[in-house]
Amino acid sequence: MIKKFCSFYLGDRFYGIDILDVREISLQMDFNSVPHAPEEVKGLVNIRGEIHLVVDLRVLFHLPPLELDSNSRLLIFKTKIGPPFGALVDRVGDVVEVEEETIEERRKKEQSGEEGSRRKPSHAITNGVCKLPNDLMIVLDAYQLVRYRGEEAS
Amino acid sequence: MDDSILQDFVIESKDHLSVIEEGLMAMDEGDADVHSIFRSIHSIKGASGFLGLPTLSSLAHIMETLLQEYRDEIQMPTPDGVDALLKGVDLLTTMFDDISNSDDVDTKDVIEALNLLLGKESAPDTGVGAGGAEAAKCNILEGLTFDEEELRKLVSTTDFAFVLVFPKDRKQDELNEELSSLGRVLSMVERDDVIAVLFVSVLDGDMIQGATELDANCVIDVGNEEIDLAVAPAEAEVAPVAEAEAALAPKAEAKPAAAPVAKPVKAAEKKDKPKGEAVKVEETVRISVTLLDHLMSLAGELVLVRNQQTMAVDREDSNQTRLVQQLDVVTTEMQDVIMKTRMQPVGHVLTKVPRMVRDLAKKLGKQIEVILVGKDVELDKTLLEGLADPLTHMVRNSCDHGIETIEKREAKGKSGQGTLTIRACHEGGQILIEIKDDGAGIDPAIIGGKAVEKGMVTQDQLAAMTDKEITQLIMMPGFSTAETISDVSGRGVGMDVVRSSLEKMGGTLEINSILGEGTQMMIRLPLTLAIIQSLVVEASDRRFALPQVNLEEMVCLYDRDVVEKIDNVNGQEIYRLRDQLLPLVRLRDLLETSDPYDENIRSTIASKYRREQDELYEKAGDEKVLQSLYIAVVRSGLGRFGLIIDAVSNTEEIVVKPMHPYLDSVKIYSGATVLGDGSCALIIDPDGISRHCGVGLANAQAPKESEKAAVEESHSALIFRWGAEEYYAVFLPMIRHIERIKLADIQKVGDKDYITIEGQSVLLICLDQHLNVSKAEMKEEMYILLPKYTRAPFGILVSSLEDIVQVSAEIHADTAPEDGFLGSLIVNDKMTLFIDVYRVLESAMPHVPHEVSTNSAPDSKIKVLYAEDSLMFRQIVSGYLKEDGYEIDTAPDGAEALKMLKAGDYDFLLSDLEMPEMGGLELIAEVRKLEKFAHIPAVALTSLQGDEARQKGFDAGFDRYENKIQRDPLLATIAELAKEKGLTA
Repeated sequence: MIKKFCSFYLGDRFYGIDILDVREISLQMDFNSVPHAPEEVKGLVNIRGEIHLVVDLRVLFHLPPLELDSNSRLLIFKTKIGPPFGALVDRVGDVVEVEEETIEERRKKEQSGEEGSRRKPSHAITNGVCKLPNDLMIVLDAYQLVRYRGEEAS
Repeated sequence: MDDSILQDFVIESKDHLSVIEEGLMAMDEGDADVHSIFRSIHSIKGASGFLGLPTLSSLAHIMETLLQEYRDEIQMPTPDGVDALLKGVDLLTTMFDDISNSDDVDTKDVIEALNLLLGKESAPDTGVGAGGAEAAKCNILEGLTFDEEELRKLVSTTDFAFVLVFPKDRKQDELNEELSSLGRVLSMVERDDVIAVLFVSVLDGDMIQGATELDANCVIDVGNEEIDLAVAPAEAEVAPVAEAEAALAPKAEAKPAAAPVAKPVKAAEKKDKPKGEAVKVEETVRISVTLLDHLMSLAGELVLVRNQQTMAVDREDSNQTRLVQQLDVVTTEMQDVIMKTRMQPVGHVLTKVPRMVRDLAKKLGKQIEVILVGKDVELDKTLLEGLADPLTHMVRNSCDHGIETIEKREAKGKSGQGTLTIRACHEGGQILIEIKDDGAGIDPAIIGGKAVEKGMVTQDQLAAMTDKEITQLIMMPGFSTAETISDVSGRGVGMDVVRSSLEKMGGTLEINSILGEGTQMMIRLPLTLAIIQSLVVEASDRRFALPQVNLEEMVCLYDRDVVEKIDNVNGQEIYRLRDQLLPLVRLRDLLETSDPYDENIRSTIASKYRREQDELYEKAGDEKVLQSLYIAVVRSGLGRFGLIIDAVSNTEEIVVKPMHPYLDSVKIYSGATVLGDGSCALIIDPDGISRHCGVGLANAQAPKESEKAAVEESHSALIFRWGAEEYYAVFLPMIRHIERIKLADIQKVGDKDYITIEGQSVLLICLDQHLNVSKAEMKEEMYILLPKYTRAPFGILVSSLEDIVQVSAEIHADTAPEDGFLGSLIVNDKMTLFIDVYRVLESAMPHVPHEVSTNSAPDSKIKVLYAEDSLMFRQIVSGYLKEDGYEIDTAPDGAEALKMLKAGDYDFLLSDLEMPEMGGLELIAEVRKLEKFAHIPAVALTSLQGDEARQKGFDAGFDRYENKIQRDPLLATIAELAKEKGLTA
């Protein structure tokens, strides 16, 4: 079965998230920061009267921070995923269509392999990897992302 | 069968059932619209027959038959009849709750009862009875041991008995323990593959089911009938009995309408009965909640489009402007209406109460009247649903254990009929639901004894508790145990369940009781979707919303006070607010410190600011340092504290949105909101901050005393408005006259405005010319306030008068946000600025020299003692003197002043003449007797005028005599006298 992914970049890493989980891509970048929140929480943003919590994926994945620029985008998830939530990414790419079978699921590997070591946030919310002709796309699980509690979870 | 048709039928029928129930209740009182009841039951019958639900249909049919006889006046409604019909309604409700299994419901009893009323002996329709008979045949109490008499008594009074069926793998002793917190286990037996438990409790089946997490069919009600079966002699086989009954029953005709055995009773009597008004049903359309939610978010988007459109519009084009204005109005109104769709009147839940109480009262042999107040108060749908169960339980509790039997009541001299009042209302941004009975109340002695016995509190702790605190113990988990059912009349059993379910919704429960007079239970619930009043404050360039409910007052410190008024106690910064120690929390630093405060963090912050101030003053040298500090006095459940903020922005009504669960670990906010300009702001949670910073625990009780004091020392204040935003106030005693004027009558002379009042030219003062406040709303008609004690006539122009209120005069001189204000106070939930009339006057009349007096020796401050009973004057005069460089202490009366004089070294005495305890004349006489103060400069400051009074003052020993509150003359007099006496050069 063909699945469509909304693709985006963090640095030169290429990610995808199920397009059915994404409601919109927003350009709104005026965040109201939340003191005391985990460091990956970029802040709150008002999108059409709904307050969305924005998480900076760069910080969550321990990548060096980057200034916001004209390419920065917010992925806003659908309400079925959870309370209003957005993820800040460096820039978005095209919609990527892949056969579901070509996604190598990380879960399976983990269960058979090394489980003991502390799971990094990028692991907890990664569904798998997918080889594309000239790229490797890391598939993220929006549902896990919204529920990931930063440092607290570990 | 098509499920959706069935669903529609169920929803529709439930509506019919409530019509029937309400109608029957009305019938009980003697007036009802039998026709509408009949129509409703008829609809149910018709549809159920069509949908192939035989049990349901036949029950509805027989109910319809009886109602038809009522309608056609073949027989009159009797209490028994209504009872039977209500039971039928109950059964139908059960069936509709699980429509696919409706055929399994035992309708035999009710149908029999109804048939009896119709003049038939027993159920004719064996098809209907069969299922029921089968169920009855099975003895559910088999193998369980119990005392028949005791069980019957329990069942027929307040308790419910159940047989609970647990899977076999449950350990019996564990079960025993688990259940004993809910009620009493009478017996337990293992049979077949299950464990059966005979169990009594005051909780009803639904609550038991919830607490034990059993399926509905594993909680079986035990009534007299079941007991009959169980104790029936073994040889008497059950089946034959049922058969025998069936045989005895005469064959009834199929056409029920043609069986009017009971002859119509006196027709004349019937005619006399008032028909009564029909039960009105509001016309409604069913809408799914999802749809409403969607509609609401669309409305939100529309608001945004509206906002953008408003900005984009060409202001020159009047047509466009008009359209945008219309769009604005319609959008706002639409949003309001949509918000309201989720709100439902609390009456939806309350109306079930009378029926429940009626049944209970009947069962218990009591008379209870139910009064419902505030049925229209609206509550969010989810909250309303969560409220139903706790409310039911509390009402049951009140009827069971609160209200006494008729005999007992009469013996106590109360009326035989007890009253249960349920009142719902809005209060302080919350919904308050009060359940009050005039029954026996709760005996704290018994509750306390129990609590000690259970090891919940020690004897010492108990001794330190108030009766009210003891009463609250019944809501503690573990208080309710089996024994308390009999010993403490059951009160408290399940109350912890009630409390915890209310707390889950963010509510609270409080119990007040007066022994012998009654019990009051207060539920407070938040309004999730509610709009709350809040003060928007700033810190670290962020804006936060501080709920007005939590805000007591604002204090502002100026210049040196910023350093001097803040003390450091063990590293904790403290501000002394009217003799109360107020721990301080600096919001700016709190935001940077995500770790809970400990001593180290606290003292680091305190010393940081201390250092900062030291540097500031060092740098400034001799120059005056201009600075200010805002303290919001915040009350939390744990006490109160001062929150230091950078600035106050404005007040705003905000819509509370819950915090994202991702941020569950952050405790200092209670939610977030969208401000008027579209940005987000966090809502401050005082409880959370209090916990995070470890403040406010100690002084929770303290403010009460000062509140009392504040009530005693209250003044009338006139609240008025000038600009569009702010509220101002002046103390009414300072105002001589209020006059309504026309804007057109104002005359301009030079750059000043004058108006003629009573033949006198009065200088008008516009506040925005002298104070840093917003521009006035100029209106056709305005008001002027004419103050007392002024040299030249002048009036303060105000745009509208709002209210006259009694406020505490506790406005400390150092709370003034700036020159010209006395301070601020929260009045009617709004921040109100109190204007210093005389300072405003001074700035309006610059030709009066300002430097009337200067304290020429600032390093040896003159220490003044001021005796005055009016706090307002104390504040004003102290302010003037401090401003002028004097050090001043105040005393509320002569006796106190004398004491202070003796203890301290004062250079100067200022005293009112008329004071409680000891007046000014007595005071000065006493003072002059003391060697040390024989020559202390003393000024009488009084409103007593006239030569005689003056002379008396001088005779007693005053050096000068001044009339109150004339700043400049007063300061001049003091300076002059001080010089004369050699205090200054």
